[in-house]
Amino acid sequence: MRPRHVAGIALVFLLVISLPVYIPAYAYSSNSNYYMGITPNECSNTGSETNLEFTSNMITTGVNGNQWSAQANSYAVPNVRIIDFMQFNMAIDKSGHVYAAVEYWTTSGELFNWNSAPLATVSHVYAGDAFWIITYLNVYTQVVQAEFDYYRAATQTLYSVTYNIPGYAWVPLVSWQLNIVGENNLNNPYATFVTGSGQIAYTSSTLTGQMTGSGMASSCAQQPIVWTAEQSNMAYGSLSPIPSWTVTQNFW
Amino acid sequence: MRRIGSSTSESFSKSISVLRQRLVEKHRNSYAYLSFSKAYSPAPVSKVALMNHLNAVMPNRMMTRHCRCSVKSHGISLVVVAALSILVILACASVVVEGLPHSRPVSSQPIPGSQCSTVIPGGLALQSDTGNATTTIVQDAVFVMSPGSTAELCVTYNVTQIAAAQSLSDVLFSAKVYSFSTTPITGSGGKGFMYSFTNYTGVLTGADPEIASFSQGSTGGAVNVVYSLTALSGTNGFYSLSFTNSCPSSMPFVIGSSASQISDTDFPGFFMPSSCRAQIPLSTGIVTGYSGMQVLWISQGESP
Repeated sequence: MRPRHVAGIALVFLLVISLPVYIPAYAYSSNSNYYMGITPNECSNTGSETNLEFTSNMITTGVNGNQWSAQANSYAVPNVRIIDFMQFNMAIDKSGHVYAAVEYWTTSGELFNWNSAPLATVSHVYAGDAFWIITYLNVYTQVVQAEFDYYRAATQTLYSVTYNIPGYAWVPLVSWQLNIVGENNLNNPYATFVTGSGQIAYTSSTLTGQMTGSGMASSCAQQPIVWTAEQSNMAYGSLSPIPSWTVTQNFW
Repeated sequence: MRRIGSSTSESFSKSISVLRQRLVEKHRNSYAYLSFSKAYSPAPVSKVALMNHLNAVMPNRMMTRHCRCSVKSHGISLVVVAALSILVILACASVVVEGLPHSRPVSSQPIPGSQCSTVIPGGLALQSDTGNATTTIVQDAVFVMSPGSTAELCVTYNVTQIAAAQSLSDVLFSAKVYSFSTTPITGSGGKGFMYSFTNYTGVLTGADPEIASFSQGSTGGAVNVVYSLTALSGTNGFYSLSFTNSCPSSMPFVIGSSASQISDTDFPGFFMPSSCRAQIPLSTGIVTGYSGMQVLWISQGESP
């Protein structure tokens, strides 16, 4: 073997060992997390419970370090009112108000938009705090109520609010996705987190079945190809493909 | 680089555990009367014949970049191969880096051509908060047309990265003008509105192009769409304007009134902050130009 060939091989070897770890071209992040649904029948209606436990302070570059939301974006089955997208959100605004919001969408636009009164006022959401976003179903598996809880660790206080969905908007959901993104269109639609991490726990009802995360919404959804427009620099960890009653996921 | 904290305190874990158990039990109890779900057939997604039309009118609608990593080394020394490898690896890396989770969408591009006489390269502020650190004042753009006239809106959509596993279908572009009614939500301990929209036939609308298709695994680029609006003679009033992925989804739209005749009270519920939704893989539409219409801004204050 000629010396220049040896040199070439050595150079290629050096290049290979110095390559950065392969970074996949796509990871779950921002407004595109896993879609949670029942397994193996993705067309099963389900309720949703999402719990976020924060392991670091949640601070963005928004006004006063706030202006972000945790959105349980849910996908409805085909229905008379053509409701396709349901948003169950907890957010913090520039004044430090932690509040809940429910927005239902049809193919013609928004059906309703409700914001709760502030649950609590804080400088920002702290490490140790927690959010819960829970939907409740009736006997027809239609979502009839949403509950929002904010646990303030420093005072060991639980703040809670429920919203009763108007009867004309009762529809089942088949998939939902938790996104940690900007507060809303008006306020910091792209949330840049300076610090923010924790764990998301998705809990399935023992009566609707075990869950897995998927890269796409249920094919039984009215409109599986929409997503929330708010975005962020938040990244989400991988989920096991094995069905489970409770699924946990890191975010950072 | 931010990292996940290593642990939480024991007392916190205990508190959370108790609270979670309470909520989980409550949640599970709510299912006590559930019946199992009915399976629905998926709605058919049309792969439209307009694809041919689209290819004809907008052949470069997607700016997809591919990394071709094969190198012919026959007859070339290993040193040359190594040099080429460096270039190829760097090229691949640049493509991969574009797909990192924290990357932001590409910036909007100016509208080509002269269909929109007023061009706003940075995009029109359709809704903004002009308040301070503690108060919110919502300002909405209001589009005003004259009866018997035609207007255009130039809109740019950024194409976000498309995952291999992500649902994908053609995006149909359309503009809609609706008659609307809003009802305040009361008795919920918060504030809100219910909306009702009905197609208004006094304005004819069109979109060019009408459809765009995307391939999985592609990333980046932008789509430019020109929406046309023709207000028929004899029309007037206050309406809602929407277009594909508009954000806010409902924008104040007026036919036949002057600026002094328009106020925020003509559009109840339009000044409430909301989330927005968009069809994958596009961002919300950015209005980068308009013609044949006036744009005004009106504000509505909110209590802090």
